[in-house]
Amino acid sequence: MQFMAAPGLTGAAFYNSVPCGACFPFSMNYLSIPFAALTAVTMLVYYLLPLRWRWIALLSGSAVFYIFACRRIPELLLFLLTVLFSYYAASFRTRRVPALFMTALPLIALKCAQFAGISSFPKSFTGSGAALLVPVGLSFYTLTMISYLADVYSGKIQPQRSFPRYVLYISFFPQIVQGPIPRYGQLSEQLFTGHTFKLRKIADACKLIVWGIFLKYMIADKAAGFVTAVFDSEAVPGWKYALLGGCLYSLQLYADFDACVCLCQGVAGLFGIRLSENFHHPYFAGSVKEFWRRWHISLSTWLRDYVYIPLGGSRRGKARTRINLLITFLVSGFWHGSGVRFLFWGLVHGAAQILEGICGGFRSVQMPAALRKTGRLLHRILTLFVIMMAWIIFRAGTLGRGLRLWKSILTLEKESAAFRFPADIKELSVLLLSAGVLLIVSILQEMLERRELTLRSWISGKVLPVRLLLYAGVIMAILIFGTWGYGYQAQDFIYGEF
Amino acid sequence: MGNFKMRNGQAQRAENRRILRTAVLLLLILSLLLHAADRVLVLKGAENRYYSAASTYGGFYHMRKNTVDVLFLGTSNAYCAFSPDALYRRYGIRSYNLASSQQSMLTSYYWLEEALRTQKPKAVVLDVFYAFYNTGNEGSFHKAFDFMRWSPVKVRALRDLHAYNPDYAPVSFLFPAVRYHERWKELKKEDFMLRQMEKDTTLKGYCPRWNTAGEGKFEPLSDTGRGNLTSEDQEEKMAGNRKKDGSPYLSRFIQEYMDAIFRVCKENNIDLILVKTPVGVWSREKSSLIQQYADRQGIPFYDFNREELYDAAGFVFAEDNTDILHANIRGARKLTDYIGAVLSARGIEGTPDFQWERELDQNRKIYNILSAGL
Repeated sequence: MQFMAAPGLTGAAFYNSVPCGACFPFSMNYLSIPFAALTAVTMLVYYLLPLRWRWIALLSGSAVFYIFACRRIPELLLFLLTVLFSYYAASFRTRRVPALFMTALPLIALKCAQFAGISSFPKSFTGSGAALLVPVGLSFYTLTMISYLADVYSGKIQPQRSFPRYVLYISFFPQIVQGPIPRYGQLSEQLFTGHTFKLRKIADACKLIVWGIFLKYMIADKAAGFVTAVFDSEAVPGWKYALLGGCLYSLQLYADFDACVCLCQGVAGLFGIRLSENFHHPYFAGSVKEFWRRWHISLSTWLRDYVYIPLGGSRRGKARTRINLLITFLVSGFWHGSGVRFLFWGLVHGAAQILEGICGGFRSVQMPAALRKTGRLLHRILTLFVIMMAWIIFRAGTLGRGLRLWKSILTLEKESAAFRFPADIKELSVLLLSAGVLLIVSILQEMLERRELTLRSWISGKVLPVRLLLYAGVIMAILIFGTWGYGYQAQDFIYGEF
Repeated sequence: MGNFKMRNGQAQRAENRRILRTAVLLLLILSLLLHAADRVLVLKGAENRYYSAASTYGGFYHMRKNTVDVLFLGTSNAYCAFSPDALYRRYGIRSYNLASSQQSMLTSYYWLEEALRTQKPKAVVLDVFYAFYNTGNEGSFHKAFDFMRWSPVKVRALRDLHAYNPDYAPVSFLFPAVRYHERWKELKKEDFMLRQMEKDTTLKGYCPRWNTAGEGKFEPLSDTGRGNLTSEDQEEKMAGNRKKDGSPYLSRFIQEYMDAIFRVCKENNIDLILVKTPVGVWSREKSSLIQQYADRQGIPFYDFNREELYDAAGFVFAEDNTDILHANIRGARKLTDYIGAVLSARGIEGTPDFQWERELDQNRKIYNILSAGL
């Protein structure tokens, strides 16, 4: 098993040397058999160990996951180095700004390189132009470390003295690749104190996992085919298909990301650990501002707490608030991707919020209730439209292509003769039905929340035949109609690319 | 406090029982639904309105024990060429055709093993077209094995299949729905008629075809002629296992399973007869290789591509084949008649049996309808 580069191993040989994860080509995709096997074994060990040692099972499981998920030894080493550094910086309270900067350096360096179009090391350095080092989960674990360091420096939390426990916090395997981005204060206690086996929690976790699989195979991966036809076609799709593509991508992205979160929460739930909520029916938002309180909540709160507020937040006048907002969304765009289009995407959201702030003054104007209601409805539709248009930029291969799609929609351009949209009516029907199910579930959840209930507990209260029908129906729908199996590669989760 | 803890514990246990009960019932329901889905989604292997792999193999299990005297094995060449009805009608010989589309020697061997669990055939007629192709496509395995009942034979077959090609995962044979769930988009009426198909023993594995090849450049093998080639393209596409110099050879995989078939037949006192039906992609080299194999094992080989047999059977390629590979109903009659004579000469006697008697009228109707189109 190769963990350390052999002395004297230099250049391409070192950068391309592989950890045992790549010697045994197991995919650690959340929907793969190796991942399921790892979870099962970790669970078994977890509940067999005495309560106070159960965190060791989680650490072992996370270590195995990370080793198998890693592509090359140098990436594994970079990860360990960053963890060690941040642990040291927090434990010894080194100078704050350099510590934060050095922790974020691998991510910043990678983003800058990608922005500049650099995808590999210079040949003179590695011998054969090895690809840049991108440890698995870099974007997510870097933010986790920064929030930890910032909270230690500001006195909100005490630094974790045990290095293994700190490693576990950073590398907890259900969430290291795609979040949600944890807060030390919320997660640490749950990780380090063992949980007793409770069948109710296991059952709830399984339901979350099944729901995640439903979102992935019945909505996200099904929509992907249609989205690709619109966005990756050389021919002009026209306004109808551009609009349809934008809507389907909005659906795909949400379902894909929420699927991942459900799977993460479900897997963590198997150990009795509750991860934070990351989505709260974002497309029910009545404004772009509200959208960011419902979408990728862990990231938007991170940006609020560690970028927006340190910049001054809304405490330094309107002009400065707007600048802070734009900077925060630029950082968000920078984090999401490596092209100008992501910065543009961030700016669109920032500008939309600023505009909302300006127009918010109209709310105080007296007007008839019907007009006010219509105004709110229009605002909601406009919000969805703006978000969808921003997603078009997000998905398009380049900013230019995204803007061309905008132009198609806004000028009602007709599609070119060469454009082909997949005419798979049956797939589209199943997709729309599944989206309908998602809508109903979301509405039910919103209604039940007002009564301080969860959908899971509401279903649990139903009679046995109803519950069985629901569970069997969802599972069989996935098995028969889901986009999985031979001929399909489970689409990698989209947010795993960030 | 103690009472509270006790009540809490009881409530916990009651909830656990509720969850377990739900889980067990759910698993049971899912098993039933998955089984039903398997039966709908499984590839029926239907070729036309008369033939399906489901009927071939499902029907075989409905034959009474130890009533089948002759088995036919091989590819679609064989299931189009040998009609159990024609064989019974002329010679009273009770036979069943277990050939299937692109049937590999592996499949032939394991279906022979499976057949011997319920039957004691006196002869096995093996068409050797696939002696030069290791395996067919994945679908060909599903068509043959999806309808084989679970037994140690099936387990060994799938294990061998997986060892040969790891892409052929046993789980897709355990639950065909896993492999074919995408078929929900193309389901037809026949997909919901598996039960009827499985009970249908009318044709006993024979597939009637009714077109003609028309004008084609077919020449039977002779001392002077090169062999029958319909086109260079076809030969290239269907050349099979070839050495570097382009000459065909029997791969180790093929020999292993042909030897296994020979061994099983010898152990069970079964007369193994190798045949090759007239096809447009055969050659002297291939014929020689099989003849050498047959000579080594001391078993007969009837190659209908050779001039003497081709003429003896009265076969006319352009009229009696439906394409370069498959006999039509007229050609099947001729080939079946010939092989029936061979079987009779080798001591296979006719036996009246209602399982063939009762299908005579239906088969005659099918023959009359289809032959009117020739």
